[in-house]
Amino acid sequence: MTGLEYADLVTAATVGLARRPLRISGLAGPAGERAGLLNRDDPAAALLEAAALMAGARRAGLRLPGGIGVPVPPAVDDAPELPEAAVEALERLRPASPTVTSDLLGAAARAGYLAPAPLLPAWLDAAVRDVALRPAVAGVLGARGRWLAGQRPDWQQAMAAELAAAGEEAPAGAVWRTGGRGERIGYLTGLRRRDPAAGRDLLAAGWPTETGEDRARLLAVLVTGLSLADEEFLEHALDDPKGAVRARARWLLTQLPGSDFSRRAAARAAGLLRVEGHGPGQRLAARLPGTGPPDRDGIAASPPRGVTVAAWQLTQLIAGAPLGSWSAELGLAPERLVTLPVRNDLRTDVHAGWRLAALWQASSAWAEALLAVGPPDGAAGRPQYAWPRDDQLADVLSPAARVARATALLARSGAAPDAVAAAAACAPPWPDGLARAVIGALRAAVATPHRSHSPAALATAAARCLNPEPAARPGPQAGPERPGRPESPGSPESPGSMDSPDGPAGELARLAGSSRCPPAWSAPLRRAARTLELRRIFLEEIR
Amino acid sequence: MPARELRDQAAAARRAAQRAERVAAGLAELQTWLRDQVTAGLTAAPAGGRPAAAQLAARMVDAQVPGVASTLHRLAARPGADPDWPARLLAEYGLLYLLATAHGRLAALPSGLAAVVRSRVGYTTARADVLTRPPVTDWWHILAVRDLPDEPVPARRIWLRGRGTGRFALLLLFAPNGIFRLYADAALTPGTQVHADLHFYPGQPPLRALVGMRRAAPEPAPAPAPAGDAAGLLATWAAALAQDPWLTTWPALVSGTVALAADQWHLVDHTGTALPLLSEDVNRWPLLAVSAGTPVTVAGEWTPDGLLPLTVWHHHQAVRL
Repeated sequence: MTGLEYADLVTAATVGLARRPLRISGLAGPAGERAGLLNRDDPAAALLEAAALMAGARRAGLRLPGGIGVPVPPAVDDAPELPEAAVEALERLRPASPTVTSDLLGAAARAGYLAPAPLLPAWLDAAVRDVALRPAVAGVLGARGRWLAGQRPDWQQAMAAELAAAGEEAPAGAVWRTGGRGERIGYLTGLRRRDPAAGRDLLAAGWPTETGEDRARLLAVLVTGLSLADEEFLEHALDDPKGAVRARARWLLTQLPGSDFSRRAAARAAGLLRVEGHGPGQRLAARLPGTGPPDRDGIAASPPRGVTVAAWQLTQLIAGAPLGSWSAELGLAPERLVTLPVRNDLRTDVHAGWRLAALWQASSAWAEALLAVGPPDGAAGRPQYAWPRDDQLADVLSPAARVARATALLARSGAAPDAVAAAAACAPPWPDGLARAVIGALRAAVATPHRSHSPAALATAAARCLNPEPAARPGPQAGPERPGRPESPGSPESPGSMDSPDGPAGELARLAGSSRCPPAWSAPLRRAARTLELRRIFLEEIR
Repeated sequence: MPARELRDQAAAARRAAQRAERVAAGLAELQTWLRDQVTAGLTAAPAGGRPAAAQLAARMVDAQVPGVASTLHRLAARPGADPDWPARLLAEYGLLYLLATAHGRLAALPSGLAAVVRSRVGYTTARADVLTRPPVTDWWHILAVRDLPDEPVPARRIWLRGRGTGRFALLLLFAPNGIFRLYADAALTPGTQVHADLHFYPGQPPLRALVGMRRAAPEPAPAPAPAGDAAGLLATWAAALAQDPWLTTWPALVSGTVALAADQWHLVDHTGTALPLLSEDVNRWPLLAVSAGTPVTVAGEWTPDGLLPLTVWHHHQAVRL
């Protein structure tokens, strides 16, 4: 006779023996051998004893499932995982310093290292939370990390654009079709970087069905990989019903010398300016163009407050024209042209046009010249779209010009916000001259706290961008210059003469601990010192 | 013998007798309560002066049977929607009833089993007494560490395995304030080994232990070898249950590949047998990242519901999950 199953006991106990009595005469399975030991007088005791017997038998005799498929392993990565000490430094930096984390992951990828497998989930989670980290994380995933990213929808979605950009077989179409705007922009940017024509074709294929806002945002992506091949599509976008789309199309076309658009702009601007006189009396004369209805190239939109329609036309015509045409037409270099007075009080309007053109055409030479001469008095109060600010112009400077500007600003105004912004815009690692200016500005701030800006922002930028290595000691054993440490040639100081032997981290820590340092300043300085030290450890480990 | 010592001995004997009386009364009340539960029905609301599990747990604390009290506390905190709940509850009730019955026959039980019953009921053994038991000297490999911060007294389990003897051991630390670093044993982390004397508590199978003399400071250890398969784990588990039917946690050191399908996690061994992987408060994703379709060595706690993974070895590095 087969006895009761465990499920029968559960049913009886759930309903209650008071309502449905149960007599246990036998138990199924191995427990059945001991069924004779159960209490014969008390049915409740017998039920509890039977439950103990069967629970024990079930636990001890557990049957496990088979036939469960294991995943196909990804390709084996040849590249090594990051060394433990580097990972430790990075994990201490990661929570508070996403930018530095990005930089270091980038350095790790360039040095041929991959993320350690156990940390892949944490780093993918970080990439889900922070879009800015995604490219850096994607760079150290390796085959294992890319496989892992495919195992969870949030990871897959976060990394899809990056993996597509890296030429991986990610399900790219899905991101483009169903992703959010940010993800689609990320995907299109990646595609443009890899294959500009494919990116443009993808955008063009769905163009009529995109919303106006999406068209404007996605069109701006074409700045990546922009070339004359995009001209036809951009000309088409000049007829878009949405103003923001037309404006972005114009912005892109302006950056394409040799396009029909720039030829039209150059033709419109020809003869607008002329040079009068010679030597110190030399000046410019501007001819105000006639005013007409707005045309498709965007000229003659309504002027900003306080500017006449004619003057605004002049600004826009100059802004649209290729900058190279001015030197050719007027026979003077940009540095000279920007210093000339302009007749009829039009200097601000002419400069506004040049500033816009320098920004759109990313002309370092013009930006440098315009920044050097500074804004004319009339520029104050003009809106940003009609008068690019100095820091916007600084964005198009060549790296060397940027460094020179930042160095000069730091020397002049210490840790003032514009100097900090100029320094922060210089790519790491900062060359020695700039590094010295930064340390000098920090020292000056701490030495005279009552007359100085807070050094917190400058310290944060320095933590990211200073070369964290202590300077090479002069002497016979100094050996060759380390790579990645650009020295400014012809520097009057001997290498490292101003650097402390324990590097910038030690210098910042000393400033933080100095008796003059206001308490509110020591925390950011100490944080910066710690970041520099952790960067130094990381970079040394991956060298 | 001086009179004072005699007096102390008499007082201790009186206290022990009082406690035994209280425990016996408490366990009798427990048995009555359990019989009432299955008579009225497991899901019936408490009625007619019948206390709920939480109230009974408080009574068990008074009766100085803390082992029973903590089980009842756990059962009182019934999880949300678990279709297997009545089956689990009945198993727990049955085992509690068995424990009370066994305690009533303590004198008739073999000494090893009697020690198990006493410890499950909640009698403690003094550290000093444990440390007088014969030592087992070995290089002890720290396999896994599990913190239980939400227990009434925050606890840490440290699972060890002897390199020479192949024996498993469990160090149990309690820190009422949740701070473990004051204990020397807290420095024992997965991936290290320590040459030391271990003294096992009475009971079977011998598992819980204290560290006696340390013969060398903890040092880094390679990945433990050999790790077993699912059949080996189940065989030792069944043997352990035969010695202690109330056992719910057993050390596991197994090798397998992590499989994740439809939110079900398994560790599949070389024979294709799949151990269900539990989550609890453990992050299983690093386990999947390390395994990535290949076999890995995993240490953890085996329970009636499956394996709770605590450590995975990535080459020679022990990764805490």
